[in-house]
Amino acid sequence: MVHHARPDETPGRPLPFLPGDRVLRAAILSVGAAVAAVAVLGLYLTGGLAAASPEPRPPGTELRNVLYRITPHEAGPASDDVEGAVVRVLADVELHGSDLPVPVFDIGSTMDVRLLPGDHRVKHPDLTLTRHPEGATTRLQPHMPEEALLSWPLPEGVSPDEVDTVRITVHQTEKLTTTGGAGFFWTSVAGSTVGTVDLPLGEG
Amino acid sequence: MRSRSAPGRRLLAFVLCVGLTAAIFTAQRFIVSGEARTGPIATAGAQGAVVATRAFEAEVDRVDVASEIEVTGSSIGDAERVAANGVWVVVWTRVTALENTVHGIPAELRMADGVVYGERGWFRASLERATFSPAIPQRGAFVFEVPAERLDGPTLVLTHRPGYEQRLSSRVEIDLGGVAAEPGPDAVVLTEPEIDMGEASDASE
Repeated sequence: MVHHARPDETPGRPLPFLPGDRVLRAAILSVGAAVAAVAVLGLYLTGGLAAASPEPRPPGTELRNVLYRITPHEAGPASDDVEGAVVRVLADVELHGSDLPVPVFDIGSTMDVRLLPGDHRVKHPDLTLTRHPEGATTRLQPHMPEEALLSWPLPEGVSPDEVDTVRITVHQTEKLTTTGGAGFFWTSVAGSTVGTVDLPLGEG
Repeated sequence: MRSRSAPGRRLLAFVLCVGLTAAIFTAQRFIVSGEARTGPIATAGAQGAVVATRAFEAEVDRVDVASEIEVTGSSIGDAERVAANGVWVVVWTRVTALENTVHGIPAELRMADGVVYGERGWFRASLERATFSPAIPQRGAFVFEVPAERLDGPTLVLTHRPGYEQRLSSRVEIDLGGVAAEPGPDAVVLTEPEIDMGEASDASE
């Protein structure tokens, strides 16, 4: 059987939607490439695409990553002998992804906590268990559900009156080995979140 | 000498390749992990026996399991009862430093399934906070809090970790196999560590 090629089926022409003229095709491709390059450069210079920020959920919502789960219930201002003015959050917490105790520091470093409306970031919470608040808890024990109070010192110059909401975002976590392989720590996975909870600041 | 035929050479090369590949995979099994090369040097023993390592020796003479612990040496002063989130496992141990003064011995309780619980760290009377002078034995208790259903085949792990550095440090692992899973009816009274010369003092009398 003999196949007759149609006039527009030019062999060796990979982009049939472009015009046939070679100079015109080169010009269109060049301009397209330049536009794409400028767009990528502009995106880079403006900080890239932001990770989709999850819609804040109400108090009592469980946030769960591969290491722990936390259910923040309420927030309030408080005063601490050592830290001074703090915001305190009551939460249920359980370490489910590790068979070893994990430092509270690692837990705190995988959470992004903001005081609104000023969007002040606070870091490194102290943690006490409500059933024995006299005892400092520096590590969470594996597979033990607890009710805990987490306290973050207020940033310098910020008074409790200026805060109406505590926004807690929990990141996904991963276990990394320290240099030399003798130890490990847990840290957040860049750009990943498992959820956000907004807590109105109560009376304390 | 007659040279080998082409199919024979190909077969020989194939067999050698397969053999070398298998040898590579086998050799990989003998690579020692960084943790194993530099981790603590452990000596294992059982409850009731003195288990010695370079920096210290330890002997467990009793293990109590209870729902409540009565603390007389806590930072708040008065005696207080503290309920467990699960059960308290109180491991009465005699520890003696052998070379130098040892400031605190971090303690862990490792279950048969590999889950590890750290010393609770709340109580000033815990043996974990004691300072051990060489050749002076002290008897006291390490206190752990464990979910009752996870208390299975525990091993007490004591690691000498000067300056938080545990590479090539001394470690003792004591099998507490006979621990009852059910808590006893009474609260365990946690007392301060005290010097206990044991049989050595008896011999001097």
